Amino acid sequence: MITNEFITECLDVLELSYTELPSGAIAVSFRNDEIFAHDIVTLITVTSKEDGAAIEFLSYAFDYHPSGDLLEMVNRHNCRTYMPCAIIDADGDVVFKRICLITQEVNPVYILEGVLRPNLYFVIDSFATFEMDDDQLRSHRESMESE
Amino acid sequence: MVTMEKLREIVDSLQLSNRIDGDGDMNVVFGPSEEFAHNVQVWFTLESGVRLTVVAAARDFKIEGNLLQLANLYNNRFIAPTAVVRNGELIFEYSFMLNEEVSDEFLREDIVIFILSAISSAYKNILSCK
Repeated sequence: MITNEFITECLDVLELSYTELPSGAIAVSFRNDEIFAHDIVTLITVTSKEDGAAIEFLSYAFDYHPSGDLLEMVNRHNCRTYMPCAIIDADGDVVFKRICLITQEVNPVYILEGVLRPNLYFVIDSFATFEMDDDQLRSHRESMESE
Repeated sequence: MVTMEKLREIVDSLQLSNRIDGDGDMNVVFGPSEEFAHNVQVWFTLESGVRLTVVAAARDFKIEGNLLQLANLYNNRFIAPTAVVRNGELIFEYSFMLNEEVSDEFLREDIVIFILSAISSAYKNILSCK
C-alpha cells in the first residue's frame, strides 16, 4: 500500500527536503536561482483506499506572475510537454498538476523512478521554460545538452 | 520492457478494434455512443519503450466558444487526459513514464484501461465545463 511514510522514504532516497503538513500533504521545496528565481513548492497528497491509491502533485511558484496571455502559454506548455499539466487556477496562478492512480501491486522502484522523480523534477523545468517561446526553448535545450 | 505487442494484447482482450500503423503506433477507434455521437480516434505511441503517449481526437466534432478557456477549465477539474488545442482543434493527450518494470496487471488496469476509460468520458466531461 502507498502511504505517506513510503513517499517520504522515496524523498529521502532522492535527497529532497520536505515538510509534512497538518493537512497530511507533503511539501517539497526547490530553489535554484540559476534555473528559476522563485521558490517552488510541490504538494504531494496521497489518498489510499481499499481499491488503490491516488498520488496528487500540485506545484506552485511563489510570487510568480508571468506576463502575457496565460491561456495561450498554458496551452503551449501542454502541447509541448506531456507532463505535468499546466493550469491556471481559480486565483489566476500558474499551477502544475498531475494525479497518478495506482490500483494494482506495483514495484516500489516504479513509484520512485516513474512517478515521483519525473513529477518532481519535470516541474522545475516546466516553470523554468514556461515563458520561453519555441525558439527560445530549442536554444535552451541545445545549451543544456552541450553542457 | 513494455512493447506495443503487449499493449495490443490488452486492447484485444478488451475487444476493441485496433490496428498498428506503419510507424508502429496503435490506433483504436471508439464508435459513437449515447454520451458522445462521434467517432473518437485514439493513438498509442511508445517512445524508446519508456514513454507511452496516448492521443485522442474526434475529427468531425466542433465545439463552440473559447477553446483555450474550456481546456483550462477541464484540466482544472479532471485528472486525465489533458485537453490541448492544436491548430484550432481540441484534442486530448496523456503520457506515462514506463522506465521501470511494471506488472501486466498494472499495465492493463492502471495504464490501458485507466486512459481508455478517461478518454471515453473526456468529451462528455469537457462539454460539462461549458
